[in-house]
Amino acid sequence: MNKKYLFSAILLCSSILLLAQEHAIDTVFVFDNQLDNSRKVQKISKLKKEDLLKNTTNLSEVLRFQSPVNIKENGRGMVSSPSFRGTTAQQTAFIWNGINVNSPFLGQGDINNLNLLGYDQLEIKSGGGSVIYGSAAIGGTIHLNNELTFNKGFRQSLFMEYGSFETVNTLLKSSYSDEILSVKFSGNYSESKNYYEVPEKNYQNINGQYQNKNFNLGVAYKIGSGNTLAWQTQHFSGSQHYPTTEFGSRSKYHSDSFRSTLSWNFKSKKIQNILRLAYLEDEFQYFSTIEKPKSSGGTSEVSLLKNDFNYSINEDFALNIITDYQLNKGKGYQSGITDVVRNAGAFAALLRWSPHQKYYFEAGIKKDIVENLETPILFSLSGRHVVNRWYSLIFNLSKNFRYPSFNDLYWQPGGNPDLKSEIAHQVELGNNFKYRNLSLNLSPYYLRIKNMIQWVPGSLGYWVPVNTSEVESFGLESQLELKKTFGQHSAKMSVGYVFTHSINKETGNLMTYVPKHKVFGNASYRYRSAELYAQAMFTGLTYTTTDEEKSSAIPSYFVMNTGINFCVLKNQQLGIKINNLWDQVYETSAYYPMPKRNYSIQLLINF
Amino acid sequence: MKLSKILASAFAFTLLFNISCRNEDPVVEVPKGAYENGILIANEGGFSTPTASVTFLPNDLSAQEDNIYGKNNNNENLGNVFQSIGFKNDNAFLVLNVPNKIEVVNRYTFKKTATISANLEQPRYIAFTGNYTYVTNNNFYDVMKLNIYDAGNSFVKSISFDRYAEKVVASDGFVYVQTDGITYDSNYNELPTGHTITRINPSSNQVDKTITLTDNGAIRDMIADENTVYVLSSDNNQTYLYKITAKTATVEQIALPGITNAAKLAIENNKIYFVTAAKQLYSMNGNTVVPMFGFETRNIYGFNVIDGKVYIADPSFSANSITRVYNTSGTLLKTLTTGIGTNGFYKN
Repeated sequence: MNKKYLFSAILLCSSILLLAQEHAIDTVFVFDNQLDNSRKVQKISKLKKEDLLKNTTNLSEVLRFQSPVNIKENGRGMVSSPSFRGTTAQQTAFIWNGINVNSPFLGQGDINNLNLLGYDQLEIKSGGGSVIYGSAAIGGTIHLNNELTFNKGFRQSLFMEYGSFETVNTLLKSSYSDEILSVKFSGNYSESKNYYEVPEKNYQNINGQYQNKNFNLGVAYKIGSGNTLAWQTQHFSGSQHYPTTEFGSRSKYHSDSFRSTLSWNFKSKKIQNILRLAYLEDEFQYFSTIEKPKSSGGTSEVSLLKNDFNYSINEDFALNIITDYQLNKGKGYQSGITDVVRNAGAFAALLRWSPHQKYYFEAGIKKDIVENLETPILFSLSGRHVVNRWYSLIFNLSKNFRYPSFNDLYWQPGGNPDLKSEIAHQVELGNNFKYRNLSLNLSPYYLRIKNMIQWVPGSLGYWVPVNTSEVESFGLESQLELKKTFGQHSAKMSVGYVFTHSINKETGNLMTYVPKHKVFGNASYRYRSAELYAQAMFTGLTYTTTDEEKSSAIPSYFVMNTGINFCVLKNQQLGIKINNLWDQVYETSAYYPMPKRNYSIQLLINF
Repeated sequence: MKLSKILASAFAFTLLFNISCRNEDPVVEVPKGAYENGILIANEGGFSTPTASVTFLPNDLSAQEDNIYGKNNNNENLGNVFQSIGFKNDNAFLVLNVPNKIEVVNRYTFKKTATISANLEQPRYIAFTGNYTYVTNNNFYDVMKLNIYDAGNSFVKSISFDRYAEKVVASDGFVYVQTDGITYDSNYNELPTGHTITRINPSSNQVDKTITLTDNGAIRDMIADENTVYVLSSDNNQTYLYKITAKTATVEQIALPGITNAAKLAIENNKIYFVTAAKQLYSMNGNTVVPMFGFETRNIYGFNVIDGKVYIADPSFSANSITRVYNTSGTLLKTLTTGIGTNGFYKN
């Protein structure tokens, strides 16, 4: 852990040393520079601060109510896994400020330990993206973004929430910016006793408490002549207990993450170059019995150097070359993983062509070189055609991948060093309709994953990962949005419907934890500074076993939340929220019921 | 005693026996419950989901009944990682590993009568003597112990072991504990932790003997009948069967040439059966091995021989398991769908 403080100190010093010189005009600095390119050819939904504040419990809740992502959560705030388009959490990439932060051990993001309130916005992109975002960007990517604004002076905001099950959420954010410098600090703390009962299921959430704290510091500085330096750092530490039964052992999980990235952006008329340096460290400890020493754990470190070079050949063509090198290190405790090191590099080239306002095309190719692993050549082909004023069409074809995680390769016993990368092909067709205040997106897709890694019971009595499965998924993602403003009134509504048909090709059965139908809706009505809102979500029957056993399936459920926000004083907004208004008894992961009706009260002060 | 007297009493006894036999005919036996005269099938369930269950299969293999614990106890979940069942009088003791509890049910009605939880830490197997109940606990880390409870299910004491506490059996007034098993080396090859079987004397509830087996294999299984404890030890090269006379703790080693990786034992009518990792069934004729037949199964989890039928579970942990029932000549009599991770078959 010493290393990261040293790293922070050096970065902080270097940023301070650079305080001087002149200016340019650019209002917001965003680290994930490629998102704007993707936006032209893929459906990306953006959740801003006010959206996030409607589901403050955790990241799982935001995604459940405000995105097409399916969430399997072992009770409120517990272990949770997201999935897009009939895949699994391992085919979902979490991108923190442009950097893939899936755990090298697990190959996936630990969503309730990724923090929520520390980000300024969240973007959710369905569909493949390995050419740009790397391993695991198969079903979709979830982008956790901090942004740094210029020319806003001093700003502070304080958010406090108290909710059922002794839940506390707080967030303090302070920022200063002038024309050339932007500094933002935020800290948040969450805790919950999280004891709830669901008598209908004879369930008590025993030992479900959690607490976590998170700090972010971001600095952006415009050096002049098109150069900007920006630095973002995050430190998260969380403790999650795992629910158990009356006499069961009480276990807990600690996670500690440190992420830091320094970015040097250069922009001229023809050339834009971004050089990035990043260091990520994740430490986890599992205690099978809370009073005893840890029973397993691990630390992983990722050091990354990445260059993103963009050259505008002429008005129509642009060439983008992305190269990166990373060093991954892992050290396990009681997992047989002693000291593993992996060098990986990648080279990607993308050509963008916009011959006409109505047309846009992009072609990308990428090759990863990962130590001791076979990797495929990846590609992406996309196009957009604006057919008329109210209709545009986008097309995507891509080949994506996921390489095996440290656990897959080295866990003892079982780890299989001969595993190959998972390979996924995907095609989608996005239809965007827009008529006045109404917009509709319909995106059918087809996706196929080969060599999917699965742990199966082996002949020697322990589980072994193998490249066995083949998954085929097709479906539809759709979203209807309506916005209307009249005088001091404004109304906003959005409804998404997701149809997913995902099967394991070997058995012909549907994949587990992939509901066929999901509907999510958000509506709000605002009059002056007062806002009334409601959220609703329907999830259809979800199989939990690989043989489509109806009796073990999770029945469909409909959950609704509602809330009101109003100003008591200038710059002080008070909110009251009712979660699970209709007292639905529901599970997103079998045998782990979610809470029934519960409440929270929030205060947001801007000063 | 004179010979005539002996004959007379023998005659009287025979007469009495005949009379009682005749008397039995008209007596209508009161059924003890729906689950008499059949097989109880234990389905382990998941590690993190409480999907354990018990399936009842009548002796004639007609319609099975699933989840009989939940059905008779207000849909209560049995729990996760259901390890084993032990029987004492009219009670069945369902040992649940992750929930640290033993549910005691009437073995014929499956109505819950008690729950044992005191001092349990990942319980595994259970055995009984007249006055006591013995339960092994093993977390494969720092808890390897035998818990002792009295006839009223109150905790009496624990005995800790150095390396393992796995199978436990009672035979001829003594309790035998499997105190060694399998571990893995740094290349995750299987290694024996040691070769010990430990005897507990129930009159003092102290360890009174430690038996060290004399081969290099790992102890795979241990079962017992009234007078003898049988232990199976094997590795990639060899298999040994040990017969321990329970009362005297004398050990007889029987080499089983040509057989490797023997895995599980069963006993029926004084005949020993075992299966190997290569999915072959063998029986013992005295000290001679008799190959029987092979199974079509991906893996072998639960195994037993009951009333001349061989039960083999092909487990799945993400879906229902497949149980196959064979007769002793290898004819497949029935294929059943049983719950998640079927790990045991018990005569009820």
